[in-house]
This record gives sequence, C-alpha cells and structure tokens, in this order.
Amino acid sequence: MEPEQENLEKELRAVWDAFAESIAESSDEEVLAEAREEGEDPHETAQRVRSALRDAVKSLQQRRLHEAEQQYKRRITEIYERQHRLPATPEQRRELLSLVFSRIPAMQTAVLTAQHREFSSLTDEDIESYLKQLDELGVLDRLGEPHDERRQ
Amino acid sequence: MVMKKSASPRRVPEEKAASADEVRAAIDGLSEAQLVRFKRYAERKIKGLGRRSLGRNHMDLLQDAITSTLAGDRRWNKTVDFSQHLFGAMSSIANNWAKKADPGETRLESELIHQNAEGEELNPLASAPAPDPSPEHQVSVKQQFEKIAKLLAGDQVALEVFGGLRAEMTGADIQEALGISKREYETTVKRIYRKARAILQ
Repeated sequence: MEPEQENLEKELRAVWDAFAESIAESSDEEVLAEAREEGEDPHETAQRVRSALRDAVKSLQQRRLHEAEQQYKRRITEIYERQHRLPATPEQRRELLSLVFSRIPAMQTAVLTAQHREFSSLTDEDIESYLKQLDELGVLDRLGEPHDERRQ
Repeated sequence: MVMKKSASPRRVPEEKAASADEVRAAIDGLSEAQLVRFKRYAERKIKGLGRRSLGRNHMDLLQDAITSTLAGDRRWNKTVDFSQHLFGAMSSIANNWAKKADPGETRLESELIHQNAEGEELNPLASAPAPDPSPEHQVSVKQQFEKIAKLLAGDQVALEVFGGLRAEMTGADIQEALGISKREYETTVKRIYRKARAILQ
C-alpha cells in the first residue's frame, strides 16, 4: 500500500476508534438518545444483541459437546478395533471377569452399580465389552493372572 | 479517545476466571442501554477496520468476544466489570483482525479462515473485497475528511481534536496538547461524531 493510502486508513481507524471509546464512556441516557436519533429502536436492538450473545454461549457449548462426542466415539472405535487379549470362549471370559471382580472388588462396584445390574444378568456381549475396556485400562495386566494362555 | 481500556489480562488465574454459567448470568444482567452501547461500540470498531474487517460485521465482533471469553483466549476476570471486559475483548479482537488483514503481512489463506459461533468455517476471502483499498476509496476517505473539517469550521476545539485524532494522538495527549479537560475532550468527540456520522456512514 502507498504510504498516503496507508496513512488515510490509519487516520480513519483512529477517528472511528475515538468514536467507539466515546460511546463506551457515554451515559445510558446519551446512548439511548443517540440510538433513537439515528432511527433505532433501543428495545429491539437490545433484544437482538442479547440474543446474539446468548447464541454465542450456546453454540460454543454445543460445539464443545459435539467435539467431546466425536472424541468419545473415536476412542470407543479404537478400543473395539484393537486386538484384545481375551479368552476364546464366553465361559472363559465370564470366568475372567469374575476373577477381576474378586481381585478388585471396587471394579465390580464401579461397573455393576453404574449399570444397576447383577453379575449374573450380564450378557456375553456385556462381558466382552467390559473386558475390552478393562484391558484398555491395563486392569487385566495388573491381575498377574496367566490369562495369556486363553487369548483369542 | 485512544485511552487504553483495562482489557482483561491474557492469563487470568483459574480461580478468578468466570465459568460459562457466570458469563450467561452476566449477559442476562445487562441493561438495555449497555446492550445498545455494545452494538454501537462494535459497529464503530468495524467501521474503523474498513475493508480490513474482511466482510465481518459488528455482530461477528460481539459474538467473537463472547466465544473467546469462554474458549479461554480472553477469559473474563470476575474482579473486572463484565462490560469493561467485553470492550477490551472487542478492541483486542479488532486489532487482531486489522493486523491479520494487513496487506503488508504475508499470510496463508488458511490463517484467515475462522469459525462462526456454530462452528461453521467462514472464508472471508471468498466474499470480501481485497483489504488493499482502491484509489477511489482513498479519494472518498480524503473527501470525507475534508467535508467533516468544513462542517467543523468555526468550532476551533473540535477542529483541533479532529486533527489530533487523525494524527493518531491518544486522548490524553490531545487533552494535554490543547490544554482541555477530559470532560471537554469527551464532549468534543461526541460533537464531532454528531457532525461526521452522516458523512462517514
């Protein structure tokens, strides 16, 4: 940009900045009077601005929620796509989960209480899913049990 | 007036940073006059950016101020008045936009792409005029300044304050140079605005 052009842009900006600061310092009466003078309905403007500000809060929260959901889905997909060292048959897997619960009772409380369920009511799919998640958390490694021999 | 407002510090301690609920409550508590003031402040900041706004409007500026407050870029320190925080945030965002749109600054198009409040990507280059002003635009700005100076003829203080603003002097410097009070300076700027608004629209 030519120096003269650049200067004019800067001058214009400095003048409008001063006008902006001026309205920031004006009294409520002056602000409302000026809006009316310029043909604005202050009540309608205020409603529109408040609504835009609220929308910004809501949209950001929805965006965060959406991002969290996407991250959760990616994580779950990763868990299910990963090879897990689980016993081959449903019976062996049920036995392994039972072993986990007996060794780490807090885990049973966490899993079953959260689901409001009894161990006996868990389906084979539930058990496989819990074991995969526990494996992901490193719980199966901590058991020290030679469950390797029962790997899939 | 280029008096510096107390913009929120970039690093607001966690315990002093407002939560989303507190920001929402602050928005709900804003008076009608304050909301109108925000809108008019944002409009003037956008007008000052001219083509450097790259197609963004005053509502974009207001919403960006809220979004950056919640996203953590410009947290609201609860010990600071919410309105002061928003003025500071808008001013800072407008400065940032001006800097990014500076034709002298090399940048990637991807740097200009931003997200609106809905998370939708907006590319200002797709619809906005180039930030580099055309010769016609420059002539027009020059003529506008001349017209305003004519309208202010006979009001020596206003003419001098207007000259000081064009010279990018701060409000405090203008007051000192002209030997006028802060109050006199503020009423003069308002007087200039009332005369200039029809020309600068």
